[in-house]
Amino acid sequence: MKLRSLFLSALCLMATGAVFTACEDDDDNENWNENAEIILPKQRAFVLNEGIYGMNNANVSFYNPATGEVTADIYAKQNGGLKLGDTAQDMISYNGDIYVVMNGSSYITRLSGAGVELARYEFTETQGQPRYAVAEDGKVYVTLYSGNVARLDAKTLEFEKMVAVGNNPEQLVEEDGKLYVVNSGWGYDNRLSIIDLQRFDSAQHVEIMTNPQRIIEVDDHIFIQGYGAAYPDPYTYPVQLYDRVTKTVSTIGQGTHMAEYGDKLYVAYCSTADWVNYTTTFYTYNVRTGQKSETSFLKDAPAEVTAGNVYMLEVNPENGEIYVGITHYAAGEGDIYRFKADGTFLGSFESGGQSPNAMVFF
Amino acid sequence: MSVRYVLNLLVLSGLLNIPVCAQSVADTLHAIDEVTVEARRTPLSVASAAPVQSVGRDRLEALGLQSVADAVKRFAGATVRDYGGIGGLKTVSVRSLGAAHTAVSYDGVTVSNTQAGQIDIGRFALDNVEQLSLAVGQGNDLLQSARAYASAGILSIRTQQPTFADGRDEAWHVRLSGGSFGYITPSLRYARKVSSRTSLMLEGDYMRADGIYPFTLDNGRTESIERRRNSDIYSWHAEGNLHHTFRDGSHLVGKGYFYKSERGLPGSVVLYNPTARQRLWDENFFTQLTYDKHFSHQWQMRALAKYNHAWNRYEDTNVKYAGGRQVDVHRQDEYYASATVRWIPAHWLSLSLAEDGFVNTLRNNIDDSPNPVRLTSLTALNAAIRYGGWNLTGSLVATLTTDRVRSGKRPADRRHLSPSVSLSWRPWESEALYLRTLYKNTFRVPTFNDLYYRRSGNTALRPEDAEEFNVGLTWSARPWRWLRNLSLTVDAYYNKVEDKIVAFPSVYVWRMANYGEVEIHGVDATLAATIALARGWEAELTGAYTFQQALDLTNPQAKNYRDQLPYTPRHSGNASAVVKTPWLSVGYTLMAVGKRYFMDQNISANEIAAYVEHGISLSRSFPLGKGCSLHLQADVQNLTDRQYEVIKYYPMPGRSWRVGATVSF
Repeated sequence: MKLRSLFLSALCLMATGAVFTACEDDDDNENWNENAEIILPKQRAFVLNEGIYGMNNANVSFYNPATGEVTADIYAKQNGGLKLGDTAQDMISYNGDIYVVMNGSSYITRLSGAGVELARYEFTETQGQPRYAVAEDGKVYVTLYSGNVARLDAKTLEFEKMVAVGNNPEQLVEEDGKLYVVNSGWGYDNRLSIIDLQRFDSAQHVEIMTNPQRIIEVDDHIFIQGYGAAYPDPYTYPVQLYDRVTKTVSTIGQGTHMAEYGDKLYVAYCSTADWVNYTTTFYTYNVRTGQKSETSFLKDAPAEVTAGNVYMLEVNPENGEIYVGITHYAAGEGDIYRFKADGTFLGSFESGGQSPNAMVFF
Repeated sequence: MSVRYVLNLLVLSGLLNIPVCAQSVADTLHAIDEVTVEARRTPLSVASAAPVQSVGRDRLEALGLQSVADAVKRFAGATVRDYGGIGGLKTVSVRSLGAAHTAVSYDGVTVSNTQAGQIDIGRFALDNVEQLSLAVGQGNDLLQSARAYASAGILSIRTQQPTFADGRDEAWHVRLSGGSFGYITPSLRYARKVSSRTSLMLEGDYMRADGIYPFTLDNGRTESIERRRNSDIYSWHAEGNLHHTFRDGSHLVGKGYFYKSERGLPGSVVLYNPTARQRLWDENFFTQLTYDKHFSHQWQMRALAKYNHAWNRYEDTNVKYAGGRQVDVHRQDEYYASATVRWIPAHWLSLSLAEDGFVNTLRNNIDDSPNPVRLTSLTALNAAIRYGGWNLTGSLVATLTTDRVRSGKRPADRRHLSPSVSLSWRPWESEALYLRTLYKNTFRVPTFNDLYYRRSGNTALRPEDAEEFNVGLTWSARPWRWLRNLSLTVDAYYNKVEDKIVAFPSVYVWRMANYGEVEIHGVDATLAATIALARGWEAELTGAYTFQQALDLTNPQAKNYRDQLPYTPRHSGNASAVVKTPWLSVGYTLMAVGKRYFMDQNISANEIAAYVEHGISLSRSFPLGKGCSLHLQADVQNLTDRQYEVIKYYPMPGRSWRVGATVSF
C-alpha cells in the first residue's frame, strides 16, 4: 500500500514535471484523495492538536472552511485507526502534502493532502527529539533537541545529514538560500544560527534575545519572538526585527504569537498577572512602512479570545482569513475562532483535541 | 427485631452482596467495656464514630496480597494511584480528597514528605506488617499526636511485634519469596528477650526484580505485545526495634529504619518512542522514640520524637539536556517532637491536649534553590463525652507554619483553626447497631514543590481547604450459630475542597495556583462475615463497595465544569473469600473498578475501560515441633491475565505468580 502510493506519488511528480520553488504551499497536487477512506474537498484546512504530554493524544483534525464542519482525528480515520502519538509540535504543508513533527513520539511524517500517511522517519536517540520543520527545494529541515538541524528528503523522508546549531533549537525559517534557526537553550541560549543551504555544513551565530522561541519571515523580513529572559528573571516576551545586513535586532513590541500575511506581521500578546486570568492584545507591523499599528486586527473578537489562553495564530495565505486557537490544556478540547481578513468575526469551532498549535490550508 | 429489620433493609437495598475489609481490633477501651450478648467484641469498624477499616496479618497472608498498596486499594473509599510494576509510584487518596490530605503513619508516627506532599506507599514491605488501617477523620484514641488529627484521613501501618514461644527468649523468622518478573526477596527477622522488661527485634530484607513484563499495546489497526522496559528495582530495608517497660509501668519503644533503593522509571508508554532512561536512587533513614506513661486512671501521657532523613537522586539521559544528562538531587530532613496529655476527670468525660512541633528542610542541587526551612506547630485540644449509648468527640486543631528561604520570595505565615466533631449513638444496648456522624475541617499547607519548584512554584499560594461530612449506619452481630460474625457498615458522605492547589497553565509556563473547587458525594459500604462450615472448616467473606461522584466545580465556563475528576471511578468494589480447612487455606480476591477518565473532560476519547481483577492464594502451615514451623504460600495475581491500566499509559502487569516459604523457630 505504502509502496504503491509512494510509487504513484513519484509518478505524479514526474508527470507534472514539478519543479520545486521557494513557494511554501504548492497546491499543484491534484491527487490528495488517493487511498483516502474519507474523500476531502479541494478547499481544506487541517488543525494540529498538540495533546497532553505523555497521553499519546495528539491528532490532526480536518476543517472544511466552506461548511464549517470538523472531522476530529482525520489521521486515525485515514490510517486504519492508528494514533498519531505523543505531543505534536509542528505541522507544515509543502507541495500538496502535510508534514507533522511529533516531539514526544520522536518522528516526522509526510501525509497526503487528505491525511494518508506516505512516509515517516523516526529520529534516533542520538539525533534527539524533533521540534519544528521547514521545507525547501525538495528537502525538509527539522530542528532537533540534540542541538542540530537535520536535512531529510522531502518525498522519502530519508535522513541525509545534520548540522550543529545552538542548544535546544526551536523554530526555523528559510530566506534567500539560508536557514535561520532560533536556539532557546531552555533559557541558556540567546543565538540565531544561520546555515547556508547550498553547503549545509556549518552554522554562523548571531546574538539575539535570551531564550528565543519563534521565528517568522514576512515579505523578506525576519521577526523573532521569545521569553527574553531565563528563569528566575521575569519574562519580557519581546518581538524583534532582525536586520540581515547589519546582523542586529531591534525590538518592535511584546508578543507571544506571530503570523504573516502580505506585507504585515500579525502579533498576539497573551499575558497574565495572576496566572489565572489572561488578556490578549493584537497588533500589526507593516514591513514596507516600518510602522506598527496598535489597533487590533480583530474587529469584534469575543471575550473568549481576548481573555482566553491563546495558543495559535494562523492566517490562511490564500484569503487572509485569521484563525486564533485557544487552549484549555487538559481541562478540555481547544477552540478555534475564525475571522475574515478584515477582522470580522466569522465563528468558532472545537479543534477536536487538546491545545491546537498549528494549521495548514489548501 | 431490629436485627431482622436491618437485615431486610440491607437485602432489599442490595447491599448484602457488597462486602468489606474489616477486622476486629481488640485494643480499644471501648470495645472492652461493651458487653454483648454473645460476649463478642464489637469490631472497631462498627463501634468507631469515624469510619475506620482495617486488615490484619492473617488476612493479608490468606489473601496473598503482595504489597501495602494492594491491601489499601481494597478499603472502601480509598483510591490508589498505581503507576504499575513493583517499583512504580503508588499513592493513596481517601474519598477523592487527594493524596496530600491523607497522612501515613508507621508504628504510630507520621511519615512525611514536605517536598511532594504525598507518600509512596509502594516502598513499605508487607512482610512485616501486623495491621493496616485506614481512618477517615481520626480514630477514637485521645492520646494521638496532633498530627494524626490534622489530616482528612490517615493510613496506619503497624508492624509485627516480637512474640516468643513458651520458655524461649529468642525467635527467628527466615523467609524467601520469589515470582514473576525476576522478583526475589530474602528476609530475616530476629527477636530477643534481653530481660523480662526489654526485648529487641532486628530485621532486614532485600528485594530485586527486573520488572520486565509484557503488555498489549492497542493502536488502531495494529495490536502488538510490548515489554515494559527500564522497570527494574533493587531495594534494601533494615529495621531495629527496642521495647522496654520501666518499673513504673511506662513503656518505651525505639525504632531505627533504613531503606535504600535503585530503580528505573519506565515512564508512560509513548507510541513509537520506546526510549526510557530515567533512574531514581532513594535513601531514607529515620529513628523514632515513643514513650507512654499512665500516671493514674485520670492522667496519661504519650511523648514521641523522630528524626527523618530522605535523599533521592533522579537522573535522565537525553541529548536534549546540556551535557546529555539531567541530575536532580534532593535532600529532606525532619525533626519532630510531640507530647499528648489525657485527663479523665469523670467516667463520662475525657480531655486531651496534644502539641506537635516539627522542622522540615529541603536542599537540592538546583541553582537558585531557596533551600526552604519550615517550622510547624500543631496544637490539638480534644474532648470525648460518653453518655448512655451516646458518644461525642470534638477536636480543635490550631496550625501555625512559617517558612524561611535562602533566596527569593518568602510565603506569608499561615495560621488556621480546624474543628472536627463526631457523634455516635447506639440505640439498644443489646444490639451492636450504631448511627454515626462526623464533620471535619482540614487544610493542607502547600508543599515545598507547590511553593518553590523551579518555574512552576508560587509562593503566594494559600492552603487548600477540605471539609468532610459523614453519616453512617453500622451493625455487627452473630445472628446464627453458624454465622460467627456479621458486620455491616454503610456511610454516606459529602466532601468539599476549596482553593485546591492545581498546576495551572499560563503563557508557556505552568504555575501552581489556588484554583480548583471540588465537590464529592459518596457512599462506602462494607460487609464482613465469618461462617463456620464444619469442624475445622471456616469461611471468611468480605466485600466493599464505593460510589463516588467527585465533580470539578472550578470554572462554570470550563468544558470540564461538573465533570467527574480524572481517575475517579463512580463505582468500584471488591470481594474476598478465605476458606480455612484443616489442610489448606484458600484465598480469593476480586476487585472491580468502573469506567474512569484520564483527563478532566468527560468525553469518550478520555475514557479508561473498567476492569475486574482476580487473585488466588493457597497457603499452609506445618508445625515442625519445638516451636518450629514452616509456612508455604503460593499466589496468582491477575488470574485472568486481564490487560488494564490504573493510570493511562502505565499498563499493569498481566498474570503473575509468587511463591514463598517462611521458617519460624
